[in-house]
Amino acid sequence: MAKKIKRKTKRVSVKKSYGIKYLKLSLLATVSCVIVFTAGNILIKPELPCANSKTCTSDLSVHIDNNATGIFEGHTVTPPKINLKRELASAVLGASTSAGQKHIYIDLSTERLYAYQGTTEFMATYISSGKWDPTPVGNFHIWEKLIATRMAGGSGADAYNLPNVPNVMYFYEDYGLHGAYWHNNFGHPMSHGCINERLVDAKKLYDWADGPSGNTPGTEVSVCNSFTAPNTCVQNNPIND
Amino acid sequence: MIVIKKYIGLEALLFVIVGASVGLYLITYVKSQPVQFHSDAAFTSSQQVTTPPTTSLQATQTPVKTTIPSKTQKTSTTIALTTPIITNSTSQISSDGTQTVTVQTVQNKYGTQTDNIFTANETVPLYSKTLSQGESINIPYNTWSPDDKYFFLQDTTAAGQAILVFQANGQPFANGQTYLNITDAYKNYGSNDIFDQATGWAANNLIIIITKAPDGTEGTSYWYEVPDGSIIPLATKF
Repeated sequence: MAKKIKRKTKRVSVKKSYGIKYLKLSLLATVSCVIVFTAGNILIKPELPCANSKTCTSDLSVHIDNNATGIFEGHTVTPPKINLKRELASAVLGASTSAGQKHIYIDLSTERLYAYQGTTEFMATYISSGKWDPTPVGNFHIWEKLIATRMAGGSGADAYNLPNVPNVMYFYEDYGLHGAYWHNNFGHPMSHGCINERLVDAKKLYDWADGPSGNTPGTEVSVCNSFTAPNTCVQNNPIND
Repeated sequence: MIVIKKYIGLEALLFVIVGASVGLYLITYVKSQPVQFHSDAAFTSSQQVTTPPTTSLQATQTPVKTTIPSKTQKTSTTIALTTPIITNSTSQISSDGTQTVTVQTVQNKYGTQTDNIFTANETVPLYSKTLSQGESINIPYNTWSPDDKYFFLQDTTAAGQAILVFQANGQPFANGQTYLNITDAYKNYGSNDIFDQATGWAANNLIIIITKAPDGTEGTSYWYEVPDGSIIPLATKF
């Protein structure tokens, strides 16, 4: 009888020790999982898509083809002719209309662009931000100004190839402000991430904004989830350069 | 004893590997999700950017067109009755700035008003309509086609709004009509979605129509093809 009780007690204590052991091992597994997840979250940054998947790196310089036709949403489009001599007369530095820093704001909630120099509003107009790919939110500087270049990307019915995209100002990788001659639906998202403008607005802004010069960065561009004049730019998870 | 310790060590290693694998799977799943730069939801964080105060948003429409067709001036009190009085004028330029469409509202002799539609440099209206009470003709911001060949207007009447497309040169379409009525074409298409507005041009000859579903939610978007009048449903909502 005593032997029976002793055996039973021994079985119970063995079971208890196994239970504790597996509890500890499970805790160890959970801790490993948390460590790997946290490290991954910090170290691995998501790769940003290009605005123009086919010309993301290949067409970041002036590219003019006055004899080409373009394709957008399955329709042929005729690009504007670019007069290189006339356009090259514009300097890298834009015109100054008043004193103070230049700053461009994009309000994604209303699809509007506001440009200020110091205390003066230089222009306010409708734009088209990203529809098929989002426009990055954050604070950037114009890193390159191009009189015109080619932009291509998409696939299938969404494929596009647009020569002579005018008055391009890249502010973050190949995301830029530029004129759009293939649609006229400003005030509504229409792009693959860039900021589309009416041709007259793109030219006006291009002639005013500054590109980089020496150690001085180009005009600041703030892409906001919402913007309230005169000075409130709301940004959700901004990417800052 | 050593075997037991080795056994426990192997088990612990196995649990660590399993835990790490689960963590790796979770992080791969999270990072593979599309990058959300922004959303339409309310924002919880804000970043103040200090800029100087400014005046309110400038009007996006261009200033009043000043030239009008005028009759011979007379130096008497009858001038007020015979010379049209412009009570309102709005214009909108094309994307490249080379074209302008203007709506001039003119006070008529017997108290009625007429809206006259002009394109740039024209002194004879390509379209006129005498308005009843509460009626108006408006120029949408995206009125001009990208190639400047067409423009569309919003005609508001007691029966609702009508979207009218014109050729920029003022010529009638092949069917002899001065304008094409997009709203009528959509009604004839027979969709259950309710016409909301024409927002602009997706291409040189495609006008974007957005609609509301009968329950008030966003409906299907369409293209209206100029000039053949086709209504094309779209997979993407605009």
